[in-house]
Amino acid sequence: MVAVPEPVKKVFEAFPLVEQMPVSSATPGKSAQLEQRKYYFTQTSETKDLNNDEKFTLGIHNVIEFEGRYIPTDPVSLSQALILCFRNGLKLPTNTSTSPTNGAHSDHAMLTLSYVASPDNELPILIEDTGSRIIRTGTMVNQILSNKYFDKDIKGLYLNQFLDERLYDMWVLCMLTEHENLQVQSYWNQTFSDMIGSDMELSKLFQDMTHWSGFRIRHAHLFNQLKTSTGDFWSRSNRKLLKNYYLTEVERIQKKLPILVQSVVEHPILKLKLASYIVIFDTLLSETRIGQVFHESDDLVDARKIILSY
Amino acid sequence: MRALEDDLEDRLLKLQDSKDDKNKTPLEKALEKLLNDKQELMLEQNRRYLTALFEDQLLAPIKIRNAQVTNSQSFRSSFIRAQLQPLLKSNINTLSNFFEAIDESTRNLLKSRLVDNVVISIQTLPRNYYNRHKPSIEVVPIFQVIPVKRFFAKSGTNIGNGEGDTYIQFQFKNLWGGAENISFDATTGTKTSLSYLVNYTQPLFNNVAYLMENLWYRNTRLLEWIQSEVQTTGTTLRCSTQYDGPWNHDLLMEASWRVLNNLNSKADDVLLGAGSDFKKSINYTGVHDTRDAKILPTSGKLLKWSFELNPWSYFKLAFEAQFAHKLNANHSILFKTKSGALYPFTDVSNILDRFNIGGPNDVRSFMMNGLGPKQFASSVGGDIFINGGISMISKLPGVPVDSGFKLHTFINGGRLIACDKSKGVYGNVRELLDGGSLSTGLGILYNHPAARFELNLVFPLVAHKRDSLRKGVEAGIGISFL
Repeated sequence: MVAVPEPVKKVFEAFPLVEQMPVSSATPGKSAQLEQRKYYFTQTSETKDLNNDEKFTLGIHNVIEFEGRYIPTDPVSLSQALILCFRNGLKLPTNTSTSPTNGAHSDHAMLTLSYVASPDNELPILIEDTGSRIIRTGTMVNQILSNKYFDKDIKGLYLNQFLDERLYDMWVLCMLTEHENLQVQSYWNQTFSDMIGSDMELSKLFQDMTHWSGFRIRHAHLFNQLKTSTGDFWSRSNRKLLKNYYLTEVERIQKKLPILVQSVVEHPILKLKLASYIVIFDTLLSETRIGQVFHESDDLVDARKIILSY
Repeated sequence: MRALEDDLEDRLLKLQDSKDDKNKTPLEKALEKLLNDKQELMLEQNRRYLTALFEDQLLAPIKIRNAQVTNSQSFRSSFIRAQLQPLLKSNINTLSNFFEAIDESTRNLLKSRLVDNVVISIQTLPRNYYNRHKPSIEVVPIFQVIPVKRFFAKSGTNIGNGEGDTYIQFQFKNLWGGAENISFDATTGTKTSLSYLVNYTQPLFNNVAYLMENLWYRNTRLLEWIQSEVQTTGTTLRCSTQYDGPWNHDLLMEASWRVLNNLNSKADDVLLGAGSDFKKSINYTGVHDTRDAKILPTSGKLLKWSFELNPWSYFKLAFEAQFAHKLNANHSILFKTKSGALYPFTDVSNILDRFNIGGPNDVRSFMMNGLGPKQFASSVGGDIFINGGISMISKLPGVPVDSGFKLHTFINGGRLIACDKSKGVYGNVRELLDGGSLSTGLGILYNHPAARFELNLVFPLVAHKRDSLRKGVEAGIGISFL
């Protein structure tokens, strides 16, 4: 490597001759837009004290109101929100804690985003502001939790994987095959209000959803490899295949549910995850086959209690 | 005597061929100069004679019997007739009008971009018994056109380490004989999703001065300055004028579905702006261009202004001016300024609609879109900007005047800010004018007919913290520079 001669280096370092303050990107409009989409977690006496400039934001699809609390519309984001509350002594956002001027709110929040805001096109994401900013994808957060809580617990690791994969796949299958019976527009952060735009956006969403958390890799047999990667979800044969597989899986989950509930009782993280799935299936997907399974389950009351305790 | 002169010229030409300038004796050089002077004198005499002849006959009556176009079987007769309208609108002309009409018809044919060249010959018809006393001369102009290829296709494949892409291009010209062209481009690869462009153009009402263009496209563009990509699917309808004069207009309607996909940005504006957006806008651009060249003018001016309205989202104004002035045979000076304002109807403008400035073709000595508001190393763009530059273009020492290589010295500056509605117009303008970034440099440029190439040594003089600077050597290629 050729070293730059010192006089030349000095000349280059002298520029710019004048340095001014940075051009501000902040405007009241931008702040208002950000606050409009934020739902602040509620502070409690057990809330951990972080440094003043340290805060986290959980990027999620959207929220619904659930017994006076705002909960995310998908089970993975709900479980991540509950785990964050559990670990930091926070409560879920409520009607009264959403305003940043309200004393009850903490600095930490949930923020509604489009899933394409995430570097891997999947939500939730965890945005950590600690002077600089770190964005952790859902996969990264799951890996951190898995290492922390299930490093020496094989049974817990297996159950965690079961929840993250089998129950998650149920949710994806349900969305892909039964979305026509649901008011799915309200589950996502959507831009379009008109019917054509909304259909275009949802079509892309369901297409991309097949790639979330390795769903397509785990179920490659459900997708016709001969078709292009963009059109195969909508082919009639693939949709039929997905529907049949979904119905089979619903029966399997129905059989395994009681054992699953008993197995996770001892573990707080797994309990929160299972409660998230039960509540989302019962609340948002109650009209679907999987929703009916969870609705009839005796464990629904416990799951609701868990959510309401945050 | 005549034989002697011819012999002398032959010998001189042989000498020119056999010897370089350095090896010639002073006598040979003197003789050569004499020969050149003689030739120039003869040319000048011929020119004067022809000019005088034409000036005398400018008002001579010319009767056009008919106009013929050979090799025109691929054109519709109504289209050809429309292009020859300047000749056919009246069959009696003066010589001056006749030549103007010939020029205009030729320009029309060339403007359709369907002919490579036009060779014009004019046949005078012999006088017969009945018209021998008439003062007018009967002529038949003949346009021999050399058409371009009607069909063109190109395909290719690029393969690298574990990646590859392929592209295909089709062009069909003069589909129905009235300069209707369609082209299709498609690219797909392991790293790029399917991109395609279908472009249909045709003159309106057989008049090549009015061009209609329809575009249908789907593409993915990488926006490196916000570490994101945007996938666009849409259609554009454009109607533009191609007048010979300085004034031209362009009306554009666009409807597109844009999806901003964040790849690695941490900026709030990108996180909140990511997702779908349906752009429906109408845009008008007016141009007044008197420059002698588009890429590197030495005289004339360009004024360009545009208005864009998206009734659901924003109103956008942009203005551009360029002035070129030749100082002397070796130096010319260029001044250019651009400005724009975006007024969002909502609290915040869409990040994809905002302005960006900076780069080797814009404010030099700053990275591509490296000026203006930043968030976590992402240039999130702004709503109001102004920039400008003065360039001195000089002849390079030891290089002929007509060479494309020139010496280039410049000073550039600009500022881009976010619109804060609470400050009002006055507050935002004051903010805009409150200290911009400034740079200078010098280098070499090459003026090629297709593009301008620059290699400059650049230095930022005034910069803002977080501006993306570029010190040292900077290269730029393009057709429009600041």
